[in-house]
Amino acid sequence: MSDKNKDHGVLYLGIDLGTSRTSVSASNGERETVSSFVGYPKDVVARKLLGTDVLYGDHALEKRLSLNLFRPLSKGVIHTGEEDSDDNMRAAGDLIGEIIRRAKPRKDELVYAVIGAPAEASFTNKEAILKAAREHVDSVMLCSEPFAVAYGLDYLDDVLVIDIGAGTVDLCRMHGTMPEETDQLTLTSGGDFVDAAFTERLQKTCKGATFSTRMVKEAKERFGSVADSMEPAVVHFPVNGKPTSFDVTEDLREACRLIIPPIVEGLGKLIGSFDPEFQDRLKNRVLLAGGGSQIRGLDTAIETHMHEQLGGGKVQRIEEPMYGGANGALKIAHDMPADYWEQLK
Amino acid sequence: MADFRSDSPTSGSLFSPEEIRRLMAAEFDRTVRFGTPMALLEIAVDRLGYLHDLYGEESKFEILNQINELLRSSTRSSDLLGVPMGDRIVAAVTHIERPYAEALAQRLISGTRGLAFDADGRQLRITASIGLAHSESGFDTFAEMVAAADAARRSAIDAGGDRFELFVASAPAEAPPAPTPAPELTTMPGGDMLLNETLRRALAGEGPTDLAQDLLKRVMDEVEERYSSASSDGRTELLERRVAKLGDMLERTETQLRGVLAGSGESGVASVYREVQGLGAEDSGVEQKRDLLKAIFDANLRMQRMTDGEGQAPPSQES
Repeated sequence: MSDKNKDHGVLYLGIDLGTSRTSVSASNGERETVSSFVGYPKDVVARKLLGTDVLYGDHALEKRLSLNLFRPLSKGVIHTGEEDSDDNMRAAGDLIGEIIRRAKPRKDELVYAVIGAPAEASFTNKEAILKAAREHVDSVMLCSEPFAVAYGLDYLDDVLVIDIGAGTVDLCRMHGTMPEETDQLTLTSGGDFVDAAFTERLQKTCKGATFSTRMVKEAKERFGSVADSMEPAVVHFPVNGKPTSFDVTEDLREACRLIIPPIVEGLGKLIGSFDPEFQDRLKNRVLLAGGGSQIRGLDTAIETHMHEQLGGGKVQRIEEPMYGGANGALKIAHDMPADYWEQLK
Repeated sequence: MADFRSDSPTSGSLFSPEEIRRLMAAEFDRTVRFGTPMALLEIAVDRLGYLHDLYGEESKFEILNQINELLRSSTRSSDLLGVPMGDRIVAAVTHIERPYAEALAQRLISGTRGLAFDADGRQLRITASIGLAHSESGFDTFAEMVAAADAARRSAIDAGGDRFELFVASAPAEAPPAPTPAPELTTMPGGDMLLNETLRRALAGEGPTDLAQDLLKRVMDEVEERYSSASSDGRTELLERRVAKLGDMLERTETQLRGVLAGSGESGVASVYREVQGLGAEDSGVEQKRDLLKAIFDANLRMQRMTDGEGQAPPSQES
């Protein structure tokens, strides 16, 4: 981006680029979230009907039958080196551009952004995110998503962050310094993993019913719980065209519970490899963040598993799961010295 | 007793809320079987939602924990079971006659008034509303008793809060003769037509001349009633405080804005946020944060050089 005529200050952005949702918190007070879907009209007719070259988020999902639909960050990363990698890169770039537009930057101000990337994203992936972002901002930095969450909450010492996204679950151990490779773990058992397990069970339970991934996800987001006693999850799926009610409470609970063992196992690894004198303190300072943390009872269930497997633990859910990463990234952005931004332009 | 500091309602308790409710129900059954008295108290902090909005979740938890502590210290630990239900606390007290249950409720009300809660340097007065149900009302099931305590709590709130209300079972009495209802135009057969005709006549000056004044009076009464209700539950006072707090923040921001405009090259409005809330020398852990920010910058600079072809891809994946 050219910074010619940009002499009226800097707009700082914190961006949480997620598999399911992309969120931005901006220094002008704007906060926005968009589902991470990008769609392009399939043909000229669709283009004329839709009246636009690209659609985003839920709007794209609604019109998906007329669109080539992309979820550029499925499994937590931008897919490169595959058949549709160019299209994915274009979609990722457009998504970043859209979320920045939604932060309402002025034409006469510079845009500096910090983007949260999965804790163990590969170099190629970080490069891909940077490449897509540089088309829309004047200076950009990446940081690990769970680190951004912890920084935003001022939890920098002896804290474990669990960031449950749709594509990945990131675990990060904070001990006052920059987390290294050994301090971070990325698991693939995120929200999409729960959706897949839930779908598998629904196919057995809801005989004859037809349902889409989106319907499954909506049911999970509405009723998702790991508690022993939960609100009955009754969904309406069509059977031969007729809406039919199914009680999927048990299936949903079982599917949601599947994410707990890998998380506790990961916590065990990060705690077990930490200084023994500080392990207890670390165990009792576990932050639960990300969209997946909204599953009811998850904090208590993780605590219970920690008690069984690690002899104790205390889990605290952050107040704003949807914006925890973006808020933290914004805090990093405006705490970052100005000359650092200049050097990365 | 539950600890409200955590999201987990079971923290600090040996039993889950479901288990405690089951134990309460068993206790209720026992009192019915042996004819011993029992009281159920449902306690709610007045205006807790507004306090939460104004001072944050931490403050809410602190208030609830203080109430929790008060409840613990005001009762017998052997026979009290407390369980959170949303933002309310339910306590079952066994072997207690109604006058003593009322005294306990009053003690809790007075104790709550004496709680000190500090927010933004101000001492806030906390009050509570308590619904009390006693077994002498002859409940058949525990669920009935819980519903009665809940109804009594709502009555206490409706009466202005900072009080307790005892649920009194209403004796079946002969219903008083129903007053003859005033004809409702819209519910009468052909009411819509009649209403339209009445309005048409009123507007044409043919109908009741005071129709418009009557409508206006009703609207004004409704507005006054709503305003009075808002004032009585403290909303106005809280909103005024909130406005004062935001005004203070605005003043500080404007000061910073003037400084930025006068002294720095960054003259944009969005940059002010950085000046007002960015990392300052007085912040806690500033050196540690600067080290972390430098590490992020170094990793990004390295990556930029790699992507620009000035180096090799790093063996480590951290940034």
